[in-house]
Amino acid sequence: MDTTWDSLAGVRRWSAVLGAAATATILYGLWMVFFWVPTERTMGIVQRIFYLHVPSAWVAFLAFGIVALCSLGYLWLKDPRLDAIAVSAAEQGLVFTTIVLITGPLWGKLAWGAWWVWEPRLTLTLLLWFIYAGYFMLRGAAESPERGKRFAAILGVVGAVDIPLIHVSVNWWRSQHPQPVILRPEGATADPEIVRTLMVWLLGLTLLFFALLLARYGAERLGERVETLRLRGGSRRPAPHSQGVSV
Amino acid sequence: MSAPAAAPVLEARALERWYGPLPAVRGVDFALSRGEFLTVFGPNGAGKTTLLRMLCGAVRPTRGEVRVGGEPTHGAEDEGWRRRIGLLSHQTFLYPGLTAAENLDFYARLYGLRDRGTKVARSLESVGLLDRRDDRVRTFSRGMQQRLALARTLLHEPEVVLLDEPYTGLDPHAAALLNGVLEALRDGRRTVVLVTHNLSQGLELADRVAVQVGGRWVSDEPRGAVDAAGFERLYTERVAAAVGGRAA
Amino acid sequence: MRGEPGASYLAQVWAVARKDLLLEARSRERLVAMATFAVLVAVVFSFSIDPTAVRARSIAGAMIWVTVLFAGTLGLGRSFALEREADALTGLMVAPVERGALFLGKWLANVVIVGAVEAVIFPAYALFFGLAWPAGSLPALLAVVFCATAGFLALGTLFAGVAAHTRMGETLLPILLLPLLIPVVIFASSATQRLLVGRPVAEVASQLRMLAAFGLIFLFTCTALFGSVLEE
Repeated sequence: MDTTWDSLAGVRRWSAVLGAAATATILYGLWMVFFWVPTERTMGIVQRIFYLHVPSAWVAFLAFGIVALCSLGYLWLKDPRLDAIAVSAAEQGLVFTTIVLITGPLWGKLAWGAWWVWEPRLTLTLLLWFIYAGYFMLRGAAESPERGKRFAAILGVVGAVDIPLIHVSVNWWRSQHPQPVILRPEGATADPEIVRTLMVWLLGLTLLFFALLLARYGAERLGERVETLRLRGGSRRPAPHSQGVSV
Repeated sequence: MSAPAAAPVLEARALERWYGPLPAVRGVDFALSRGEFLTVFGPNGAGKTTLLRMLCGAVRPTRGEVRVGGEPTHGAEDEGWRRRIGLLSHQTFLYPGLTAAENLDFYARLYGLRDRGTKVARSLESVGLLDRRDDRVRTFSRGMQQRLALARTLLHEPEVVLLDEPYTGLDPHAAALLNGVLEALRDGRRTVVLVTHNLSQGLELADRVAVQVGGRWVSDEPRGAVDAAGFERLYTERVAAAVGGRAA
Repeated sequence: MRGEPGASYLAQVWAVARKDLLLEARSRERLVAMATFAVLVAVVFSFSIDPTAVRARSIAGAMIWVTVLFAGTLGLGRSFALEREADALTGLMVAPVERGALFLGKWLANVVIVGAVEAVIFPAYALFFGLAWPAGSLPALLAVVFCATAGFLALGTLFAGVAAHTRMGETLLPILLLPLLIPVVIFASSATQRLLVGRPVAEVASQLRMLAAFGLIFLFTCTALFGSVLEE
């Protein structure tokens, strides 16, 4: 570990730029949802929650992809920056899967008449949420911070291999059971206004994701530096978190 | 078969290990030739165990490298160098639920030894445990367990023997017994590294004495240059100086 | 002095598996604990199911696999506790053993031990719930059980190694494992159920294929990742 640190000024600047763009896009998106886009004919007003629900699901899976790639990279190269990106992405993933899991049932109650339906994509998101939750538990419970990073990365890689298998199996499982008669969102005729609003939201939330990712990454790196200085500076004071130094 | 005496059997080159932001070992350099016995003294937390674990390949160095027989060990395609090393720690690495013979037989299989039965029996005999061969290790005293651990370490006849605080938890009798076996290791064929915080042990056996504080070697001298009586004072001074220098 | 050729990969796998099985044969603690727990779960199920509302025969596949996964997870935690008792894991890491061989050895021992528990679970359920599998379906059932167990324990052995190095230890294991094991649950219970009600063996071919694929994929992935669990 070097004492010369790479500057985080660029990270902060880009986070601010993306954050501003995200805010503008989402404000525009909100205006579209409430004042501009026509109400979908078959589903009615409740369909509007989709502008938050669908892009959140997209961002959650994007985050998971980033976690998987950075985890693999971390196991390979042992670069702490890759771990910092992975943990930042995993945090966003947990937040956005939570949004999906809240907005899904809100819509489902009105559209399907049930709070929870084992719809394949919703089920997959639920399992993804559990994997993310395990990711953070594992990190926190490891005997040393270094182990925690490595173990979390292992879960990130295994999860990425497993998610397609879970997807296939959940789809297969659904195909074996009689399905309740539901209104499928993609079955509805998609007005161009609806598509455009959805695209704006997709862009807005993706920008927000990257803005938060960079901000979180900067904070994570800064935290590591503080920890380093604290551990090195106080040689007379006992360091309470010096696990991992099994000498 | 026999390498020239000058060729180092075990080498550390600018060896470093960091745990996150904290250094455990910093810039340790040495080369040991065949038959040399090195003792590394140091207070608790000096990074001695980490040093030893890097030498035997259980811990990956952050920087620098370890060479066994001139070949770098980390990232080596052929793991054959591991068969040239034996590690004895204060932990026995034994399975309490297995018998003495089964424990050794397991390690003999891992090391791919031929003639396992004979080797295991001979090894048990050398540490005086042949009559307890079919008893579970759980029933052994601490001293007997440590002797069995020593048999395990030497089972595959390693050229390099690494000893990590081997005296911990031994009564004076068992310690004397261990000393006898270690003395026998000084047959000119084996290279030994002993790390300990206990100044009363390990000084007589050593050809070379180093002191490690805060991950660094603050002294490294041939045994002849060290006055046994004055060493303790010297050691205390050096440790205090090194710790003081770091705090300043 | 060094004429030894070293142990082959398979010999290393076998040495590790043999050692684990020997330890288990001595103490039988995992086996007894898992089998007792499994039979207890079956008893608890029979008390908790209302026989007038649902016939046990129509949900037996689900009950059996829930039991296998819970009982298996219970015993998996011990798999690495053995290695940490006198820090034997360090001894293994210093030895010339491939990390993958170490993993496969422990996996193999776990498959044998959990297989023995399954040999108790299936008859126990047959007894308590009056189930009988048609004789012709037995080879297919064995294949399903083997593939599902292999996949389950590939992930189970990897995460048992991970959990052993955490403060939460064995508590964490089911939380990490169960979401990842959903494919095993789905395909194994459905195949077991179909064979039980006497559907043709060909009908479970797709489930069996999926279980085999899951097993192979994770046996490979986890063998490759195991080195990262151990290294320091």
